[in-house]
Amino acid sequence: MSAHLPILPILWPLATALVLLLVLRRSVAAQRAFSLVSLLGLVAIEVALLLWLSGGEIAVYRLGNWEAPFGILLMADRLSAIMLLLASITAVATLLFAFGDLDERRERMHFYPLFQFLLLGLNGAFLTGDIFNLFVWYEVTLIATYALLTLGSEARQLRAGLPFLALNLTGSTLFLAAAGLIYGATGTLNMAHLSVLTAAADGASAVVVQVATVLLLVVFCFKAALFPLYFWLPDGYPAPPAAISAFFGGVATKVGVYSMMRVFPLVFPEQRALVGEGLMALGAVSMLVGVWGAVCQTEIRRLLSFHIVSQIGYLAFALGLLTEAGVAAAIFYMIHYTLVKCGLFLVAGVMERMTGQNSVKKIGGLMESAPALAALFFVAGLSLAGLPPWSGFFAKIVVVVAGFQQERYLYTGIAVLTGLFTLFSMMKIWHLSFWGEPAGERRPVPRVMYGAVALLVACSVIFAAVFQPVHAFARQTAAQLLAPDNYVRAVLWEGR
Amino acid sequence: MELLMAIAIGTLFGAGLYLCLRRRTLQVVLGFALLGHAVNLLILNMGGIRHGQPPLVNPAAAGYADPLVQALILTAIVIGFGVTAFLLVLAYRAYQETGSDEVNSPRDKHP
Amino acid sequence: MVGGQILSVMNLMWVIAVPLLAALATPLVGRVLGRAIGWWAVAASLVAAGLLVSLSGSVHSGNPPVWSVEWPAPDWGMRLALYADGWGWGFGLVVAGIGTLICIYAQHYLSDAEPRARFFMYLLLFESAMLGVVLSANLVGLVIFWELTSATSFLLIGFWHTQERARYGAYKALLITGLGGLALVAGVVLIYLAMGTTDIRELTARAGEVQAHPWFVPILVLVLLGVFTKSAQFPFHFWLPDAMTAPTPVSAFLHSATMVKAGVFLLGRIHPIFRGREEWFWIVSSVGMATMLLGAYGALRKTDLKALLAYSTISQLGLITLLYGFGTQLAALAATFHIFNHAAFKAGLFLTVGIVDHETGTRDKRVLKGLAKLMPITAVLCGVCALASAGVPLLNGFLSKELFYEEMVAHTGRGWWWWWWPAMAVGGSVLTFVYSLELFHGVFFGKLDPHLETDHGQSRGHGQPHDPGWGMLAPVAILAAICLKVGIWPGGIERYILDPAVAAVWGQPVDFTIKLWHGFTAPLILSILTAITGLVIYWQRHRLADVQTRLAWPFGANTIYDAALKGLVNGTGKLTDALQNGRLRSYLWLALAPVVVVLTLILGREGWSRIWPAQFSPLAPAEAVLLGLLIVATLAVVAVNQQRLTAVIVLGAVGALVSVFYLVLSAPDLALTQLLIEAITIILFLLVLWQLPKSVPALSTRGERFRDALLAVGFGVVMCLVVLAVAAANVPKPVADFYEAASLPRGGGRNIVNVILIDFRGFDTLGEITVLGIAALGALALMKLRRRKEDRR
Repeated sequence: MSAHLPILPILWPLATALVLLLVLRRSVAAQRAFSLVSLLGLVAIEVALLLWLSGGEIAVYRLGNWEAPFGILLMADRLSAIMLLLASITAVATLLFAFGDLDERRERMHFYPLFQFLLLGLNGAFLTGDIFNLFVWYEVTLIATYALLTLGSEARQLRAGLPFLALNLTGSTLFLAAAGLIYGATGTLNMAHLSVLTAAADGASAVVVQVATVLLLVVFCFKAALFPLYFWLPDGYPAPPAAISAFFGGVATKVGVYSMMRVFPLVFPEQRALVGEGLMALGAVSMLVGVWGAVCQTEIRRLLSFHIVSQIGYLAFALGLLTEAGVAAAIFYMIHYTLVKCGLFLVAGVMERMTGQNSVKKIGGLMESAPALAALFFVAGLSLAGLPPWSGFFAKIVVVVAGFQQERYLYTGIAVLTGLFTLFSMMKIWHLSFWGEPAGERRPVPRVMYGAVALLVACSVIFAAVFQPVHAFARQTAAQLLAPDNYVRAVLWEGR
Repeated sequence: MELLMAIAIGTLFGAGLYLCLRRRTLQVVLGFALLGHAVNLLILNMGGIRHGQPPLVNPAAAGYADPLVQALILTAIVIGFGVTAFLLVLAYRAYQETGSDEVNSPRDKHP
Repeated sequence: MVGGQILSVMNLMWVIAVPLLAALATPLVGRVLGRAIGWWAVAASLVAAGLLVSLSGSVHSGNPPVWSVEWPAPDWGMRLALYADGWGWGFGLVVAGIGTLICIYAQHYLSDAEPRARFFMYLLLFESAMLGVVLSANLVGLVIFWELTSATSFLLIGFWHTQERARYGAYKALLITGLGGLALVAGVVLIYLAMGTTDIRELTARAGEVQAHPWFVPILVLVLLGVFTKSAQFPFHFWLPDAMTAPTPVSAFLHSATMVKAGVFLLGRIHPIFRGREEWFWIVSSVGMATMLLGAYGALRKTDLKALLAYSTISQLGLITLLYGFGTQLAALAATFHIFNHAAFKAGLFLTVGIVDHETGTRDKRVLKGLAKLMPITAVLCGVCALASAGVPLLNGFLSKELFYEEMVAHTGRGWWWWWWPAMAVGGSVLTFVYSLELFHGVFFGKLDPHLETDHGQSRGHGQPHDPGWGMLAPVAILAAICLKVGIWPGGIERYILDPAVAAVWGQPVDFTIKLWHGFTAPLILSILTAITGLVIYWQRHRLADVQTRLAWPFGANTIYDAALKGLVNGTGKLTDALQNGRLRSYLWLALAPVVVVLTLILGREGWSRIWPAQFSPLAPAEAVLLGLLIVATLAVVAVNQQRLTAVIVLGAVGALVSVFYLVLSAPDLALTQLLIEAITIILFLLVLWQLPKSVPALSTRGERFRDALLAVGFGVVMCLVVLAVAAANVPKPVADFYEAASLPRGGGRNIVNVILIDFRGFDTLGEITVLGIAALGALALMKLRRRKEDRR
């Protein structure tokens, strides 16, 4: 059984989606129940996978049992396990929230299977060990994203959908070109095999490898929403219902960051300087441009969307250091902020549902009418801004430590300063919407929506409490990622 | 041959991008269609240029055109079709709902 | 003995845990206790104070108890560790003690309409955080509690959140102290990286190493930024007056013994690590001096008594900072002593002003006069605290002021210009003397405003202003009593709190005795001079006010702050509007133009020759024609893009040419698929086109089109060169060779492409089919979900 564990996170949501589509299509209630049960099953599978891989094993699953590098293979390590679990936990909260948040039209129009398909795409991307196959899973993720983004066909969704699609399609085109070029320059698509071949490339093929590196950097930055490739995000993410944008905001951009972590150290071990400097510079600009975008917004989910760009900037900076401490910081930061950002989007969803407004200026005095929501927002908001004692503080500390360690004073300084702007914008929501005279309506909000928020905020608190073990695990994960030889050995030499 | 091929691919990329930079939905979709051709031909080119050597197993064959790039292109064509079809439907629906066929996003002006 | 030690160690933890747990339980307990919830807070604070008292034995024996927990990162030496050395313990005692008094006072101060439980929850949370700051043995723990004081004081300052001023003040306090908090975090990280530890005791022991480190100055500056913002030192002083929008008990707590004192507490904490360096002296003492003068001068300009107290707090904190900067034993003693004294008299003064406000409904010093007649007890208590603040003998303020003068004068031997320090010290003290008199004499003596004698409807008290009940008087009385006790018999308190505190701040035990009378010395002369000048100025205070009005400086720190925030929101708004402008064209430009530039650099860096293929395959004429047609057709799509129907048809031609080309290049499967897909795509295009306007004018200008063409050509050329580079590389393709060899024997198919698709790389095909399926679902949803008819109208 455990031998087949790596493929389960892909087959499980696929099977779920098919059952939802073919068997349960008539009953929304049955779809809800089955989605949730299946998702909890997925969480269990992924916990098992995490436990298995936490020892440092690299699980290689050869599809069709073709030997590497000829067939496609799945490659699961600590990082994959973390990403899988992170996506499912966020998905559980989002799904619960969706039960209360979504209207029945959307539920009937296949929200639940589409959601499973999105998970399928993400999980595929988190597991594959083949660069072209990664492209395929990107496309599955993207097409599911497009469908969910426009699900409901509100004018705003449709208008936001077009540039969103166009920009992501540009990214896809570049990805395809990059995958092609990599094959042209090396003759293989298997990541571990590439690790050997790109390092040995010389002459014209070395130039092509560099071009492909830059193109992939662009593609992943597109997907992760780094400056200047983030423009699709702040226009697109606030358009769909809160449950959907929360999942986008929490997880969807992470697949770009994950790919950077996976691909650059492994596939392009010789391009570290190029990738590192590029990521750090783009990260630093993103931190500022993103948070500045947030500072001036009044629409809550749009404000939060701009924050994503800024937070991704942190990740890119820490990752760009390409040291063990830096990559570990990026991983810890990613865990923290996926949960908190998703939680904040859900808070925004509750606020919108309760008041019928989406602008901080038209909402006021929620502190009196919804003290529990206020407390949840206060914790999540301060956590995002990096204030203790919640996970955001430790996430910030590890990034700053890693930055100073490499004597990157300017970029680290920007990271620190960005915290102040983040605080400013978070407290802007607090100050305008939670404090002040009551404004906006007060409609009842289903309990389950609160539960979803509480789940994520609790995770932020827990991750602060277990900072050391989680960070130690992130550190081991980083060490594993930065030693491509292990992957080469596991894929090309072992199990032959 | 390679030179002219490269020029053709470059032209497709350039023309595709130019159309993507236009402001109406249909031009943009046309642009992506051209970009799709461009990238497919680029991949085909990665396998080298072979004439009359289709990748069908034949003991008499002197060699085969690279079958892998052809498989990749097939996958890419089908995926590209799916996305293009969705994009077209979206363009149509956006025009229906908003009465405009411009590609632009809703904006939240800051106060 | 061992058991007792363990017990006292646990007590240390409970000092923080009790207020914290009590705070978390407040919402529930509040339901039971109702409006008596204040007593719950009183009890919690009292327990915290009691626990501290129970630790006194180990503190005095010089064997401070330490409690630590393996969190957050013991592997890094980052532990949440608490210890009660003289400094932290003494400070904690003041925090918990005054906290208890504040809770008693607040229980009587708050009106019934206010959400009491919430108030006391915030207050206890804050108190717990503050106790954490003073008891932390590790800088990481200290920073955590430090930031918590910022967050909880934000809630306290904004307690009356429906008032715009309260929100403004709270926001400002959070931003300024938040800025400092970030600097402090950065400083602590640097300390950690430089020294490998954040344990305060270890750092103290290795002070020499810290001072010799190349990062010393950045560390110093960052940590001091934290201190200065928290303690409202110039130029960050301006948040403090706005924080006065908090309920008065909160102001009394935050600005006498806690919040702002956290800054000077940290100054005392790091004193043994940093003192002695020139940078330390100049930065700390100059900032302290500027703040002291600015605060005292500002206090005199205020008509609102709470604002006056706010500026006086700034001034007193400046004095303390100045002293710590000197880094001598005497200065450490004077500063530490003054911190305790200031806590007592300033809390008393705030609470008195709260009483006056509560009873009369106003805090305007121009209106408040002659209140002694109506509220004699309050007058006496205020007198004690105000005179202590002025530095009048027999009160605690006098003693610390004498020490201050003594320290200032002690350096005059270094040169005549060192008289600058005592001169400025006297200047600051004179102003302090004057505003203290205004608080006491101005408010309680003179002719009573007849309006105040009757109930004017504004008062939250009932009817004529009178002395409040014991609940509000007793806390002030206790504080006044402390001022007197210390002022007359300093001995007991000196041995109990001051001795161990000074020893900790200095780094080793210090031998001193504080005496009321130590001869006719320079400090005494300066004190007399201060008192006389102060009396004269107070007598002529209307003239001073005139001078101040004339000197009024229209451009304060507040103006800068407001302009900066406004500028931030406007500037970022403009930037964001420019970048996030909703136009795909602009987005694509920003995304792709840099890519083209970078790729050009990479391709050009090592010379074009490297990417030029050594040889080309022969070009058959038919192929040349085919490729030529393809290029022409492609350009034609661009040329006719505004006649959309034509454009779509030409696009079909491009697709057909590509298919033929596939066929020529030995890819029959591709040719077939391409042709099929192309046909369906064109039909879809036509269906959509049928709905859209057929021919449309261009929306872009000629210049835009030219620039777009430039980018497009650049992109095309780069891609063209890349394709050539691959041809030049011409690497072997072992994977493809494998497929060719294995297709029939192991894959069971002659069509190698098909075998790859369904077997070798079948997983790609799974994804591909999924994409098609999802696209169909999404398109279906797009078509089916429409605005309902009634919405559309």
